[in-house]
Amino acid sequence: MLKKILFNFALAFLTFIFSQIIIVIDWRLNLWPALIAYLLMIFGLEKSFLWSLSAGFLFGLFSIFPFGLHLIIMYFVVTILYLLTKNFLTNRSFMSFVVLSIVSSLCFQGLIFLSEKTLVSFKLLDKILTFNFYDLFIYLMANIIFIIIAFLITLKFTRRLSASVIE
Amino acid sequence: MKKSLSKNYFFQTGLIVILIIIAHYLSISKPLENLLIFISSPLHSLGFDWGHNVEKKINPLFNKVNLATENASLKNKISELEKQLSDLKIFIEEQNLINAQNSYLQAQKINFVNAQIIAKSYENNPFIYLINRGEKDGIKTGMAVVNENGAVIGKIIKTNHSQSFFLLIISTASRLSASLAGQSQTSGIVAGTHNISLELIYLLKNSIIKTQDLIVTSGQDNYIPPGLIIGEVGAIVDEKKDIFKSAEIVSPANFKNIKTVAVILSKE
Repeated sequence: MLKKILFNFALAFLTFIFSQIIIVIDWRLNLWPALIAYLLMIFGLEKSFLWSLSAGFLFGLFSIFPFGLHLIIMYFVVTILYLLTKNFLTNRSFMSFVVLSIVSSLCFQGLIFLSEKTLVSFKLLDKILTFNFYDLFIYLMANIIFIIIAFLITLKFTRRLSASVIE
Repeated sequence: MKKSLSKNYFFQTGLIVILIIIAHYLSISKPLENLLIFISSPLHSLGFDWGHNVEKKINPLFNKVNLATENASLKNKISELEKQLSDLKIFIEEQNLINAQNSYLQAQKINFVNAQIIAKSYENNPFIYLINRGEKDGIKTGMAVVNENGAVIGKIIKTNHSQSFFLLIISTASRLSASLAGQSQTSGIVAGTHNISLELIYLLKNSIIKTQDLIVTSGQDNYIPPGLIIGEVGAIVDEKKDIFKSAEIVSPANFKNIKTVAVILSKE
């Protein structure tokens, strides 16, 4: 079990470092929400939790927010996604992936902004985040495109989705 | 049975989250965190450099898409640039002032620490950067960050043991107290406008200010000494309906490709 945790944490750490390249190109290309949704759909709850908590831990170390906030947000995002997959998006269709990616992205951003608003109102943080619908749109599109590409690659090169998609 | 197990799994994971947070605030996980920060610093820096290189290559490709629109806007820009060129000539003369900044800092016995930008923040603000200096180097939240020419480019917003975050002053979220060089009674707040430029706001109506006046820090912010160069006054906006005057500020700093900065430590 420990080996599994360490292996997944190491992979998440490398992905986290790699994501810096994408963030420098455009800060709206934060693809973690879509990645978490993809992991949940393909590999299940356990792996999704391992990755999201690893990411939450690393975000906490390299974030202007108090440590732990990203961990809690990631925990809630995965929980919401899991409940969706169990109750509504029960099949692993193309649309399920897209919807899950959108929900994941919106939940992540929504919780970040809600947390910032709360911290600012309690004077624990200065208002520093910027929000506009254009940026949100680009961010959502980037996550949708990422999950579509991931879906197509999985469909083409693995058998994980072959039972869910009619050729 | 299955349902209770899954509930239990969520409970266990939630408990792990809480334990991780407690371990952090009790400094139990500090060695692991410091190790991760130590390992990630060079990797982050590498990622940051690669990202910059890719950005440089990608940007011209995107620009080619709208050549016709770009051509029209470029024609407009030419006339604008001609005007700016004459401004720039004057501004170059003022570089002497900037060069004098270093000797000023030394004369005032203001210590500074050089730092390297290692990453961009993952937060929803493209103007937050991570530098490789932190509390162990004497950096505190609120200190000024200057570029190689001594012009203020940002403000420290969070510090860790070995790393710090700073916010560029062109961000709309940034606020910095400023005044006219040599006339501390003419003061206002420097704020970022549209995330691309600077503006001096809350200037009193009766304050005397003219184009090309030098704007410096006023010293009213904690840990920021007075007299650090922010920029020079551009266009002045003084409308009757407004209570305050405002002025555009032209900064000598290039906010695009910053890699090394200096953090001004507080006066001894």
